[in-house]
Amino acid sequence: MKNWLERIYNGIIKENPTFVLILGMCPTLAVTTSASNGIGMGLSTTAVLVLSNMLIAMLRKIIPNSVRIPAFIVIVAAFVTMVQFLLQGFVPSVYQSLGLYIPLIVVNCIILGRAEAYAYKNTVMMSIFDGIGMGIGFTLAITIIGLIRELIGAGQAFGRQIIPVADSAAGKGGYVPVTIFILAPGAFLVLAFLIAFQNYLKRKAAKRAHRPIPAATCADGCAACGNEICGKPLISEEKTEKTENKKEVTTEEKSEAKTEVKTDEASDKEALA
Amino acid sequence: MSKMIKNAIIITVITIVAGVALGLVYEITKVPIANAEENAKREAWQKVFPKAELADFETTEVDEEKAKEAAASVNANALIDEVCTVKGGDEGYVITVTDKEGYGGDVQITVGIASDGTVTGISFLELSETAGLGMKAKEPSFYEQYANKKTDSFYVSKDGGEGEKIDAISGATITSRAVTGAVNTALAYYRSAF
Repeated sequence: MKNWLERIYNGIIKENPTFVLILGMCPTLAVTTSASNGIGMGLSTTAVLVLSNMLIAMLRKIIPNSVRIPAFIVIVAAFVTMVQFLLQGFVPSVYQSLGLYIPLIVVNCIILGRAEAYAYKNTVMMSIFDGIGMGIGFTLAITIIGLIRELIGAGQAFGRQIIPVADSAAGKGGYVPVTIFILAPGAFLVLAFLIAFQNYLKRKAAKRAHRPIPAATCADGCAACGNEICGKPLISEEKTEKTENKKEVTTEEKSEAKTEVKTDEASDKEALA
Repeated sequence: MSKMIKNAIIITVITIVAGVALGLVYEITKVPIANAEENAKREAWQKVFPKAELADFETTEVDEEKAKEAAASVNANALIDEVCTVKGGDEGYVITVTDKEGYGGDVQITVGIASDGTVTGISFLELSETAGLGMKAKEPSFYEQYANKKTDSFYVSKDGGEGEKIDAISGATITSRAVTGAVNTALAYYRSAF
């Protein structure tokens, strides 16, 4: 699989921000009262994610390690405000229905998370594709949650009445909407069932392949495991990424001079790769 | 120490660049945003006063004192945002009110009142209530309850009161109350100011 394709696959399936990483729960739970809200929120977040990933990857050699978080937040906030202005001016209906949640994209941990875990350490192109993958994964996830909540809670899909609703006043029989699915608890319920369902599919796939469930063999390294759903070469990449991440954290606690050396090493490694 | 200064300079530059970029986007989108808001407002006016032409509407000044009194007299936490005359007040008035007591934020509506005090209709400018519950206020079955009624005040079925009864949206009493409060404020302002 090509590298950039792997990034998109990673964002949608393997490390889906909503179902696997469980990131960005605020918008996931709050705006998914309808499928169209989900799409609007997902696409706005994707736009911000791609732009911020791109810019942070461009500036990764310039932004000093010790002030990277404020730098990320400034960049993300600037993009979010731009997206807000654009929505307000050109698609007021989307702006109306998302309201307060647009400015809240700034604190969406998917965006800061990807900046920190990926864009700050990788090339511009790869970061853009990482942003696209993660964005699509997020959009799909919250649209599905929104669709299910809307369907069960109001009998609608994308604002259209799919199931005729009972009207006791008019003496008309029909579907009685389960209102709790539109309310906050419904968001938790739908999310829990979707994560459970996804885990069930993963386990089933692992068993069908007559291979041990990844957790059992991961200790021996990925080469020994060979589990397809684990994605052989991919996981090893992912692992090095994570260990690098850990190194960064520990060095941060040590002296700043050392951090400089480490980041230099990291960029050297990257150049080699 | 020099490192600290270097970091400070870098973050300052990033912030300045971000600020300038934001300013540019703001300048570019200023006109479309104003247009979009103006269009939404005009559409709302037209909707609550179908008889009048667009040219008949004219914005007039809001009497802040009377607006406050009006809200207080109907026990609503609401503000009068804008008042429009239709044909100089001969045909009636269009009053834009924001009620602060919505479930998901402010509820901003436009109320059309004919010169004889009849509510000609209401329309929503800002409504961020729960989808499937409070958002049902946007369905004709709810908002048409206010139209073509001549009364001093409306009341939500659950609460009781004087005037015309409004059937609350099931599961969204707070939204129903906010909308009713806004309409009552507009009516009270109309009575005291005109």
